[in-house]
Amino acid sequence: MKNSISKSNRIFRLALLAPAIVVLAVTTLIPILYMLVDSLYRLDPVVFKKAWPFVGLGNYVDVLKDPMFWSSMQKTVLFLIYTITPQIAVGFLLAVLFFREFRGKTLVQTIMLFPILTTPVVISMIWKYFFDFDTGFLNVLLTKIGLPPQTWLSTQGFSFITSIPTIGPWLAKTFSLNWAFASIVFVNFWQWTPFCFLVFYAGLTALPLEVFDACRVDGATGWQTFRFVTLPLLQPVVWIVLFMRIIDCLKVYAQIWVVFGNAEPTRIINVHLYTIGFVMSDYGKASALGIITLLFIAFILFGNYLLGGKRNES
Amino acid sequence: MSHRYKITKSILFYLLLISIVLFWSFPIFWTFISSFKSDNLIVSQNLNLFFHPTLDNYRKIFASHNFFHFLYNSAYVAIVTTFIVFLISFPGAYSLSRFKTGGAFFVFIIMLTRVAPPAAVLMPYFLIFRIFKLNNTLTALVIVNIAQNLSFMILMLKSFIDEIPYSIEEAARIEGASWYQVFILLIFPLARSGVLTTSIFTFIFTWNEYLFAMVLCSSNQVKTLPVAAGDFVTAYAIEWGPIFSSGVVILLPIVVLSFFVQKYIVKGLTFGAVK
Repeated sequence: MKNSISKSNRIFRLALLAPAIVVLAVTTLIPILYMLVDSLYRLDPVVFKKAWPFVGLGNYVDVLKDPMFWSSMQKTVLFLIYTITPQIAVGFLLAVLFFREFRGKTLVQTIMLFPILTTPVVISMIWKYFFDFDTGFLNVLLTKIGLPPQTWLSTQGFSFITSIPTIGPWLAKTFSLNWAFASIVFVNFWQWTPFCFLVFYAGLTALPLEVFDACRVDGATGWQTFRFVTLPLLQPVVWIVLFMRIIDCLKVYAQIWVVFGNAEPTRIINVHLYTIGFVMSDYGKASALGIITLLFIAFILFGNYLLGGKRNES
Repeated sequence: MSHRYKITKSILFYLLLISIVLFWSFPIFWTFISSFKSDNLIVSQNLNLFFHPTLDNYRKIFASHNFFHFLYNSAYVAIVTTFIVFLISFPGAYSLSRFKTGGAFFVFIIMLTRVAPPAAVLMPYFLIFRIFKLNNTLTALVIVNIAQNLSFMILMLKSFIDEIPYSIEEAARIEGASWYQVFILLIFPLARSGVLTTSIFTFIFTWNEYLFAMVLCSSNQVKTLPVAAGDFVTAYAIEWGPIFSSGVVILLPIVVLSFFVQKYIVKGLTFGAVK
């Protein structure tokens, strides 16, 4: 039956898809190819029509020699780990917790929806206010209940880490253990945990109920049901969430830029890219950095695919 | 004993529930409240739960910061982008869903185009638009937003069309309807909720977009709302009043629209992999 369709109307079905393919190809391939070529030249930001000097891989060497690049890579990886792990864990716990009948369930789900769709810039503005030292909500609240105000956006390492003898300062620096970094992780946590929750919840509702009935009949405890039935059954959903979260976390820009600008302690790769390209106006180097970033992302996603996504490819 | 245990447990559950709801709704709620406070109330050392509401913060952004114009820019870019994305993605999604054009490989390639972070492809866009003198035009933003959203919307729409039973189309074909008629008169009405959901997602993502708008449209003529609002925060002296009111202006359409996508958000954001 399907075969007969695919033989006839070949032109029709290609014509339907053609505009999408053309637009995607033009808007994806052309910029990337253009960037690839640009990355081999020393671009002049002011004089645009002149022929630029060809520098080969010079820009790439420049990027890799820059200690800022390595520090931003390190921060990007830390950012991915720090944000995604608690999001998935808490999202999963919330989904299991709310997987029952109770009053106001729809309301809860509606409220959890807003952070996901909220404008990143607005979220950063809100949290910048909450974290503000002088007049921020958190410090006003702390003062009210008689506690000392905190420097929430400080880029100094946590004092309980730096006070550890010898390795303390090193630990704080290497693993970005400071309030500023914690705050960007926290803002992302606030925005995206609801997403993980909603997806896991949907995954749970899609599971066959008979399985849980069988568990009850066989006398499995709540923990056993969770560990040996719920968790394995939801594994494909976990990989989907992980995949989507990695892609989205690698796009984070506004929430950091608005609060911290291009300050070194919170400079992840996207902020570094912007700084090289549009603050320092080094177009050639920024192009090289763009290509390196794309390779880096391909590498991470391929790793994720090899580790677990492959099994669940449908 | 067991009864008591049950009551304690359910009280604990509701306490937890309330704190979770508070945690995720309070910041937005507080923004809304604060947007009606005068400047000195916002920066005072009190929480000021009860106060005399004022529209000053709104007056300020609309009268002296030209927010009507930014609102127009944002709406223009979002509406035009949404419409064009719909025109391109709907036939494409139909073709992918019904004829399996290109198969799974094609779907994978389309998915890949969504992976690149905006910051990484910003440079070539900026340079190419400079050649065509498109920087600081809303057209540039429309093009970029189409590129950013198209692949996502095709896959999302495909997952909606996948669910329309094929037998309906077959029946129509037997009755003598052409492919064209099936597509326009049958599938489009049936995929209505999918089209609405995808369009709302495109609208919201375009509405929220910051980085491209900031770089490609920095002049006051073509600034969009998020960039204008961002300017308040990155400015040397922060004025909290306009920050809150501009935040509310940006969030209002999102809050209204999100009620329509509520039912489909999980399906939409995971390309139908989880329903």
